[in-house]
Amino acid sequence: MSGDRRRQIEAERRSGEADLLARVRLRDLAAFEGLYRLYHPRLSRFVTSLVRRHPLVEEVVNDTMMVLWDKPESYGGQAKLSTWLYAIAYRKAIRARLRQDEPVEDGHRPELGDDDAPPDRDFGRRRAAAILQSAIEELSPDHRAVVHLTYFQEIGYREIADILGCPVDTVKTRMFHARRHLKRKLSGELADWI
Amino acid sequence: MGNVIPLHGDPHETTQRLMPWFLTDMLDPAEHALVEGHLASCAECAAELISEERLRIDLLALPGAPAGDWAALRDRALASQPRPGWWASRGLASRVGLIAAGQAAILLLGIGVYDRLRPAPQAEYHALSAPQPAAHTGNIILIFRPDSRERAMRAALDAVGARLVDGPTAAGAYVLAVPQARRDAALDLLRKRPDIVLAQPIDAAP
Repeated sequence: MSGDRRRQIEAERRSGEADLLARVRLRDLAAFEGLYRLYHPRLSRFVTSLVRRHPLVEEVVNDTMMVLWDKPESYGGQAKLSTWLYAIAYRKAIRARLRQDEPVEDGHRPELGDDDAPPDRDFGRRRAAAILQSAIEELSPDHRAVVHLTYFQEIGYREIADILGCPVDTVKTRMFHARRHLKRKLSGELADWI
Repeated sequence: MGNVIPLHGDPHETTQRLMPWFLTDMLDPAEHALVEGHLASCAECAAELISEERLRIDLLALPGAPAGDWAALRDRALASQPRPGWWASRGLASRVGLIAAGQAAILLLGIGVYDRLRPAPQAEYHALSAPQPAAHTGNIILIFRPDSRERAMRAALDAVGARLVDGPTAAGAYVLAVPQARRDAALDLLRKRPDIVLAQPIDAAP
């Protein structure tokens, strides 16, 4: 996507969000639902990169959205609404993980497939995806958060530093090491199957 | 993995570390130009960019998070009434009492501040070492030569019947007071003395 088109979409989105936010300040539940539907997929995916259990993911995402509902005035408008929400979700996820997250089998992990099945292209893709998923889970939550915000949310490193509350060089370094780890784990798989 | 690698401005290193945000078009124009320029001349980085793009596509293809449950959050939002502020939660009588107490506190504070800022009354006596208020009754300013002796200085004052009211100042000057009717005659006499450098009136002519 070109930079101009992206900026245009971003401006339209921010304008729409500002309208919804103004209505949320007046306790308009429909506007709150609009922001929930806009942000739930993104927040949920982000929080999934930080905590494992699905009920805990939902709890963190809902707690984050409730901050918006209960204290909309605490969003000052200096940062983007997304940055503000991600930062809240990040802090809540870190606390939730320390409190009660336990490693469990991830129900969304791509299946490796049957080792005896013929090596067709789909099998190769599934295998690469499973290895990638496994490699991501070997990263620390802070490294996963940077990868996620960079590639899934397409957020710049300065804004990521704001969200995670760390220096920009730390963001670059985390991303560098995370990419190196993922590529090392995937060596051969990407070249063979993609 | 926690050690921070600082960037030192090497275009190769910078490109390697900014590559993800180059791919997502999230660099500022100067950074974008730097990475783009380096990619055109570095085969290693160009290959790395292809590998990075493959990694990004593969990451994006991973399963997303499950759908959310709006109904649960809606119920929570409906149950969450905005909490009245501390002030709004008070009864009318309590609010009136608090206003009265506040006004009384402000009045007392004002009296206290006034008392502290009010000029102190003049003391009835001064210690000997206390600085004396400067006299403003002099009408002649006088500067002696630096090598003048005390006796000559005293003689000059006696000769014109002057009284020393201030000095020496920072410039070595003295302020004298002579009766106004004799001020000009005193100035003439003082100016003729060899041990005096300057004698000038400092008030209006009589």
